[in-house]
Parts: sequence; C-alpha cells; structure tokens
Amino acid sequence: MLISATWLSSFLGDELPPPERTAELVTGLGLEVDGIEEVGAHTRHVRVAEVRSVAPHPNANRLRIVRIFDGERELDIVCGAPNVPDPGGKVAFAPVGTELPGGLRIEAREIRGVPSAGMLCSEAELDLGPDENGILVLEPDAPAGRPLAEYVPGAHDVIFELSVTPNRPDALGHVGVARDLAAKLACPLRLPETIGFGEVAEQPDLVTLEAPDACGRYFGVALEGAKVGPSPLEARVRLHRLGLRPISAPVDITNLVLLEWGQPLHVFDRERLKGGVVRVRRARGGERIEVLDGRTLTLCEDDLVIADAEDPVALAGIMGGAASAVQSDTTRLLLEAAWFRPAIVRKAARRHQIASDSSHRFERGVDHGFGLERAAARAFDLLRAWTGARPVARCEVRGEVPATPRIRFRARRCTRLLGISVSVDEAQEILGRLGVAVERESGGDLVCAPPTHRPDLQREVDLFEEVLRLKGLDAIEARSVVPSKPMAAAMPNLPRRLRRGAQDALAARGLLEIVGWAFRPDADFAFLDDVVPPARRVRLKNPLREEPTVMRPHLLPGLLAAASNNAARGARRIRLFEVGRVYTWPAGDGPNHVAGPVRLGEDDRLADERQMAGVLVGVPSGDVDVLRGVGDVCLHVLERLGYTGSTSAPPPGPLAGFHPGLVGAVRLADGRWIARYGAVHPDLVAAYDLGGWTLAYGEIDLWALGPPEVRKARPIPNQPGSSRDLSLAVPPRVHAAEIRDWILTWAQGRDGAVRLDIGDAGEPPVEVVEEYRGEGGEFEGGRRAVLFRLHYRADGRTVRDDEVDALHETLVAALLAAFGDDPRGPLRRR
Amino acid sequence: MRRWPCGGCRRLRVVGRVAEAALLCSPPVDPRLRAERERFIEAARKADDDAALYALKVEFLGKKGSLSKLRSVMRDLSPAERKAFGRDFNTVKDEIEALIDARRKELAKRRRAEELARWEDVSVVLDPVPRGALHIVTQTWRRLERVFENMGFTVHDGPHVEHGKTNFDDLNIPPDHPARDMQDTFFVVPPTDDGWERVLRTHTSPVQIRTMLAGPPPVRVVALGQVYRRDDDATHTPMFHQIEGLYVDRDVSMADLKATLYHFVSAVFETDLDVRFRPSFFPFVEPGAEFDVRCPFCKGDGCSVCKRTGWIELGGSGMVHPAVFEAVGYDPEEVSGWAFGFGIDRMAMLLHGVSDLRLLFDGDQRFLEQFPC
Ligand SMILES: [Zn+2]
Repeated sequence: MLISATWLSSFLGDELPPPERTAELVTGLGLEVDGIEEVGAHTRHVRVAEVRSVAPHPNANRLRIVRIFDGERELDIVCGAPNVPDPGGKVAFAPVGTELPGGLRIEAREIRGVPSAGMLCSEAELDLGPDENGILVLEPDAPAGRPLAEYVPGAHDVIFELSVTPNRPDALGHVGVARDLAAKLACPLRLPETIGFGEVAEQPDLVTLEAPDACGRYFGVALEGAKVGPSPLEARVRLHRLGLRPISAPVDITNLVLLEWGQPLHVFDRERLKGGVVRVRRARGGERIEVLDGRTLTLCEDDLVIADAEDPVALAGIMGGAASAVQSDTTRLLLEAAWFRPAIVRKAARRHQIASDSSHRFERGVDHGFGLERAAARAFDLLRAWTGARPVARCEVRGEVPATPRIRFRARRCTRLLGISVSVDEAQEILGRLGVAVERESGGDLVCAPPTHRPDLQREVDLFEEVLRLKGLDAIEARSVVPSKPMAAAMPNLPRRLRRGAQDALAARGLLEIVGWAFRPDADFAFLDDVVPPARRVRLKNPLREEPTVMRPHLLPGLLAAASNNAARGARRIRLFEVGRVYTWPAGDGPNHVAGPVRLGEDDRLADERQMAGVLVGVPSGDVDVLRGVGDVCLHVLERLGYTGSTSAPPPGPLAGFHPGLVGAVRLADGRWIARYGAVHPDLVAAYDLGGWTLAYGEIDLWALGPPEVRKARPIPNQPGSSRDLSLAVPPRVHAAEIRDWILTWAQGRDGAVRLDIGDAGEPPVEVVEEYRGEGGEFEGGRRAVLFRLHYRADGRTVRDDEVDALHETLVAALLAAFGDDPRGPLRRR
Repeated sequence: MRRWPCGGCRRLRVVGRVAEAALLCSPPVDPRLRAERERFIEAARKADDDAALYALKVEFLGKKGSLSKLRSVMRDLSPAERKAFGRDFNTVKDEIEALIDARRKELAKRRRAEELARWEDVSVVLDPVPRGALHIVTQTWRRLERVFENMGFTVHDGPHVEHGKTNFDDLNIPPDHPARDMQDTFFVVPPTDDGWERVLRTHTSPVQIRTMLAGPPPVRVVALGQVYRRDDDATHTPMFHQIEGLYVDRDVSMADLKATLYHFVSAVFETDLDVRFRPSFFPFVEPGAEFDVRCPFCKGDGCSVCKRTGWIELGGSGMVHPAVFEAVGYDPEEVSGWAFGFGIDRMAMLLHGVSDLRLLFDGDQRFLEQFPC
C-alpha cells in the first residue's frame, strides 16, 4: 500500500511530522513502513510558462521555435512536440539547470543552429504520468512562473510504502492511516467535505437485492449527461504517484476514492445495462461473463454477481464486466458502492484466480457504515464535478451486515496481560480517540462498541492491543515471572538424542553435514519402486515446479545431488552426511510414526516420518576398503549411541540403491539389521554424473532404535587365555561375517570349562585377521583365503593346550560340515 | 579442613628419599685387590650403555666374577691379614657397585641431554585427518536449544506433514481467512480420498497446539525444526527452520515475554542486548508484536548487517490468542501465555556472516568445512 504524504497530511489537523518521524510513528502503530521515497523534487524547478508565439525552425521541418514567458522573462525554446498550444496557452517549462527524473540535465544549447534556453516537457519526462505523446499542456488559467510543485499539489511528494497486515482493512486507504495517526498524535482528523445525495429521487427498482446474506449494503446512483474525459492534472498525478494509471474521470474517481477511503466502487455504463437496473444475485451455474482483464469466466452457483435485467455485469466485489464498462462515449452512469461478505469474495477470487485491489479489500472487510456512505458521497461529488453528470435516481438496499460487538474491557486484566499499568480513565480516553463508543459501568468496566471500519476488534484482547498500540510498545518493561508451580522435568526425547548423537559421531569421523531438501522430484526415487511403491509416497498437491514432487522417502538422492555438485566443482573427495526424516504413508494398518513426543488421536492420518542417518563417501577411484570404512562408520555411530552390534552380511531381500554384490549391514546384538552400507548402485552413479567415482553409501535407521541400555562393565580376565588360527578357503559370495557369526552361535550353545572369549589384549572372540585373494585376485577358483583367529579361555585358571585343541578341532569339523553343502560352494580348511 | 571424600583414598602416604651411597676414602693394601680395582675403573670408563655396565657387573661381581674369585684367597691368610683383606675386599666391592651405579646415572643423563638436543620440524602437518562439521543450521539450532533449556524450557517437536486443522484452524486461522495467505502453503495429496486436509507445516506453531493438548498448564516449551512455505526467491527458500517458544501459566504477561526475549538474545549473542517490540499481526497471538534486537555487530551505531538502523528484525511474538486457548480446552480467563517464533537459518547467517541463503542448502563442501566442530 502506497501512501502519499501530501494526501495524508491533508486529513490531519496538525502538520504531518517529517517523513522519517512519520514513518516511525506509523510503524509504531503496527502499519509497517517498508520504504520512504521522495518523488518529484525537480518539480520545484519546473515552471508554468505561457506560450507567446510559435515560429518555424529555419533548419528543421519538425522543430519549432516557441517563445515563452516564464513569469520573469521571455525565452526561446526549440521544441519538437506537435501539440504546442496557441499563444496564451500554458505549458510546463524546465529551465536550464533542471535535472529531470531520468537523470537528464537541462543545458543551454543549440538545436540545429538555434539556441534553446530550456525544454518544454511531457508528462512522462516530468514523471507526472504515463503520457509521452507531446508536451504537457496546462489549464489556461495556470499562473506563469509558478513552480509546478506548487501549482500541482502532490507533484513533489514523499511516498511511504506500507505493508498492511490482513487484520487492518481500514488502513488500506489514506483516511484510515490518517485516522490512526491522528489518534496517536491526539490531533483532529479532517475528512473531505461532501455534498451528498441531497434531493436525488429514489427509484426502488434501480437495485434489487436477491442475496441479502452475501451483500450487506448496496448504493446505486444513476447519473446522466456525463462527458467522459481525462481527470484534472492533480488527480492524474496522484494516481500516478500511487502506482495507478489514469484512464478516464469516472474510472479515476473510483480509484481515488478506493485509495482515499479504502472503499472499492464501481461505475457501470448504464446504457449497456439491460433494463438500466442491477440485481445483486447468485450466479446461475454455467453463466459466463467477460471481465475487464479480458478473461471470460464460467460462473458457479456460489459466485455472487451484479447482473442487469438478464446477465451478469460484474463479479461482485472482484471485477466488473467488459460489456458494461465505461467508455469514451458513455453518458449514462450507474455508480455502485456496496459491502459484500468477505468470505464470499475471497472464495470467488480464489476460484477464478483474480486478485484485484477491490477483492483485496472486500476479502479483509471494508466499512459497511460511515465509511461506505462517505465514500459513495465523495465519488458522487467528483463525478458531478469532473464529468458534468447530473443525478437522476438513487436506491439503497440493505442485507445482513455483521453485528457490532459489545465488548467488556477490564482495565485490571489489561494491566495484568500487558504488564504495563493501564487505568480505566486512560483506556476510555484512548479507545475514544480510536472511534470506539465507550460506556462506563458503575463497577469501572467499560462496555465498548468498535466503529464499523474496524472489523478486527472482536474481543477484549483486541482492545488491549489498541491501548498498547497507542501507548507504544516501548512502555513494556522486561520483567520475568516465576512459574506458578515447579515445571516438571523434561521427559527424555529419544529421537532428538539419537539425532544429536549421530550428528556428533559422524562429524567426529571427518564427515560434513548437509541439510537436504525434504521434497524432491518423484523421478529421483524411481530406484525405490520395489521397496516403497509410488502409492506410499507423500505427494505434494501444489509443488513449486510442474514436475511431480514427493516428500523424500530416502536420503540417498539428496546426498548424491550434493556429491554431484561437489564433483563438478572439482572436489577430490566426497564426505557428506545427513540426519533427517524420510516420509512415506504407513504400510497397511500398522501405526504410523509421528515425530515428537506429543501424539494426537487423529495422527494416524499422517505420514510415517522416520529419522535416518545417511553417509556418502566417495573417492575418484577406490577399492572395497572405502565400502568397509563406511560400514565401520555406521557401526561406530551405533556404538557411540550406546548400542552393541557388528558389521554383517546384508539382510535378505532387495536393497534399493546399493550395488547388489557390494553391500553389507550392521546388526545389533538382538539380531536386527539396523544399518546398511555398500557401493552405490552403478545406475545411480551414472544418473548423477559421477562415473568413475567409488561411492560408498551407508544409512542407519535411527527410528527403529529403542532406548539404549547403560553399558555394564565386563570383568577383565586375569588368567592367560589361548588362541588358535584357522585359515579357510572361502567360496565367492560367502561373507566372512557369516562364518564368524556361525562360530559364535555354535560356541554359545556349548557347555564346558573352555569357551570362546575375548583375547588377552581384549580382542573379540573371533577375529578376521587377514584376507588373501591370490595373485591378480585369483585363488583356488575364485575362493579367497581368510585367516580367523579364535580366542579361548577358562574361568579362574590358565587354559590347557589339550583342552583348547580338542574344542577347536570339534568346532572346525562342525563348521566345515555346516558349510559343506552350501550352494555357493564348500568351505575348505587350508 | 573438611573436603568432600573422593571415595578412594583413606590416608595420605609420604615417600621419603633413598639415601645416597657413601663414597670411598683410601685404596686397598692388597695388590690383587688393587689390580682388580684398577682394571675395573679402566673397563668402566669404556662401558657406554646399560648392557655393557651389566656385563661388567657380572664380570667382576657375579658368582664366578673375577673379584668374587679373590674371596678364596682369604683361606690362605692369617686371621689378622684375613680381617684386613676382608675389609678391603668389601670396600672394593662396594666401590665397584657404586661406580656402576654412578656410571649408569651418568649415561642416563647423557642420553637425556642427547634426546633434548634433538630438533625436528613439526610445524606443518602434511596429511591432516579431514575435519568433520555440523551444518551451521545444526550448530545454531543447538545453541538456541541450549539457551532455552537453561531457561527451563522443554524441547518438543512435531510432524512435518501436519493436519490442516492443527496448522491453521486451531491457531485461529480459519478457512477462507486472508491470514491463510500470509504463508503460502504446500498441500499434500491424501493417501486415500478421506477429505482430510494435510499440509506441510508452514510454521512450528502447531507444536503449541500439540503441547497444550497433551496436558494442563504450566507449559514451557520450545520447538525447533523444518517448516515449509511455497516461496522461492533470493531471500526465501521453500524449506527453512524455525524455533517456536510457548509459555502458558497464570499471570504471564507481555513484560515476561520481553524479559525472556532479552535474556535469550543476550545469551545467544553472548553480550547484553536490548530488545524492542513493534506491533504486528499474527492470528494466533493478540496483542502481536515483531521483535527486534539491538544489532550485536555495531551495538546500535549502524552497520551493513543492520542496514544502518542499529536494529535487527528477528521474529514475531505476542500473547496467546484466547481462541487458541479455547481450541485446546484451556480457559483464557484462568491462564495467559506468550509465544514467539523466528527463523533459525537467518540467525545462523547472522551469527556466521553468511550473506547468500542458497549456501545453506547447496551442500558445497568448501562451505561446510569452514565450520568444523
Ligand atoms: Zn549493526
């Protein structure tokens, strides 16, 4: 909302404070000033000049030499405009030294051999309007020599840009801003005088109201004999300054009154209204109307329209129809001033995707009382004055308007809520200044009826805010209160603890955290189709861009996109991680997982939001160690979070996103697979332009973790144990972890004095100490040699070699038997 | 003086110094002893390390050592000679032991001096371990959490895919109200056609509703997390992070809100900073106010960060609207409360001097690694 300082000040009984101070005051009232701009400073130098004579230019056909009188002397000006008035006419003259808005500085110079002592300017050159065809011709009575800034009020102005919050429709006009400012400054408000409808004859059928629930008030005034021409210069400049294009007097008048009172109006060409009357009614389904922006709308039965005897001529409160618009030959006018129910205007505006100055105000609620009446009268006055039209008939109909609330105001409560002292007298005085009708009860409470231009004042707290606004928020002093009873200790928040722990652990491993977009193109997740079918993806109804967009069901694409960017920027190593949520609709009837400790009954309707940690490490070319490294990171994170587990073979079933043969997992002590890691699937590597890179991805399902147990100490062995090495030829696709886990399970099920246990230096009971693939990776038909080391001990004594040998050999025999008929090939001892 | 017991020790022990060995005065009379002594002194001078000294000790004083062997000579001596020889023998033996010991100490001293004389250039690390980093949004998030936890707030979170009702209606933003336009919303396609409105939460404020529905006042929580608005330009990203604070109790006033904000900004910027309110409108508070903080970088004198105003706009706040209390079943006549909210991303940018919002979401390692932690 643009506000002109000149116009604003015309409504104030006192002088408007300097621009910066005004901006401060207005902002302090809750109407935030976003910008202040001084405009038209040059019009102090541009003067009204009288044309004395016009002579042809000796050297150019299209130029003329205009002799003007600038109030002091006569000067010759070379001018190319076709519309220089005859002698006696008045023009705008920029003398030498003037700087025009475009930065052009007027100098004395010769034009085709004839000296010119300045320039005659067009509206556009002076930034007083859009017209650049010819020079600006002023009224014949304009006094020569007068600076334009004085002759045209508002030519030199300060424009404030206000951002008005939706609760303050009253501030969408200059009068409303002036009203607040006057209340703040405690100075009188001077509203424009109006003559009013006076003796205009009533014509009851001029307006018919068929939808009293949707239209609370409708004034119609019929005028005749209008001459449609341009508005006076002052009005045109005002509109131009406030960002509107002057069109013709009737249209300009509705715009000016809109900017003055915040009241949208409309003028119809009555000649084009069938029957010369209007009906306010609901549209019939399928009715069509071409509106002023050129679109043809198909209406539905919820739309409120203004219709003539037959067809819709305007979408109520939003936009007029093209067919009934005022044109240059219009002579019969119908002025509309109305109040439409905000929700109805808003729904229709959304339905038809029109946002107009009018709908913007009606949606928020315009004044259905005094403001409406004064705005209508003002427009009426101006129409008569500027078009010469005379009124022939009028009609006012009333529907339902919101009842004025009666609000009890308790000063004590105000004091308690705001934390500043407010007395009854003070509150009564402040509310009175704002136009609130206040009655004082014997008990000291105030009963308040807000004015119709403040639909936002509905409850007691709204009045508290009014008092606070006018007292100023700086009156509040910082003062802490003590809770009325001790606050309960915060309950542990496991997701948050896991998130923090995982972030810290990953950063400690030299990885860099990213924050990835929670939504991405659906196409990014095609690789997941078998695991998270498209129907389970959480889709956005109105994504930013055309492409189908979903809340991410997986962290990998975000990490790959970041990796891809980094690789393109010359990174020599990728080391990224993210801890965040992935989103899917719950599968089947199982409970969904709403993040956070507070769960509502209807949360079953929401999505699963699972917290995951994803790690992406990449090197331009690397080997299996990079993959194992990420597995170790995953395990390490879990250990730091308080869980016990080990890297292992992957779980059965598809693992989307991974290379099927280069993948592992982390299993917790209870057997659950909680993390997966391995090489990124080659298709994805290619899709993200990362060909040639070795990329290892790991992800930890933090959501699946229950609270960790506090670790208990384990006794440190004080008698020596004994270890045996076992070298095995392991067939392809048999994981060493499978063998290790088989041995551990086997050993757990045995009783006896000797057992598998940690080594003397704390080594795990079964270690893989070496792996050998042979020369060129070839060893016994694709097998690889894996050296295991097994640690044995007995309770409370040194273990004997013969006992260990016996157990070890039994174990090895059982192991070889167990893996003997494995379809992947038999395990052999070396 | 009484101290808290450490749980381990019962008493203090004093360990005294061991006395130095005595030194010799005169050489022995017996030529054999004298010769052994001379031989030892000569050999000891050549012994350069502990191993050589040990070998010397074995050579002279071992069971079959050359000095030990001289003990057998005593059998052939008269009792008087034997007594003198014995005394000299012991003296030489003590002397050799003392000399070995002294020599050992001398060698240790020399080794120590040699060790201390070493010099290597360790001023440059040629292959440093890569540093990890938390994202500055995470770092700021934690900084804020810590400050509010210290002020007695519980940290809550809520779902990102939220009910339209919880995100709007319960927060006094009814359907068809222009306030719904203030935050352009991402709507979610429902999984089944159940007519239920689901949105990406446009603010952390639904956590207010969730918290109050969970139990009676007093309530003192902060909620931090991702929020989503359909907005994408130089100063807005469609996803960003917000923090929300809520305090509801009897007699909570706007003065307490101001005090809390003041304590919080001072703690976050680690310096005493003023806070001011400007009236504004947020549907779920009344009165509503934006709050500004005195620019921590110029202390109010004006700089580029605060655009020469001396103040930095931080966020929105106000007294919880009675309609919100009614939506969660609290009685607005009985309790009052305040709420505030602001963007974590902008705070992170302020704290770390980041001017381009896009850097936060780009994943550029050259940016991320600037903030190791
Ligand atoms: Zn500053």
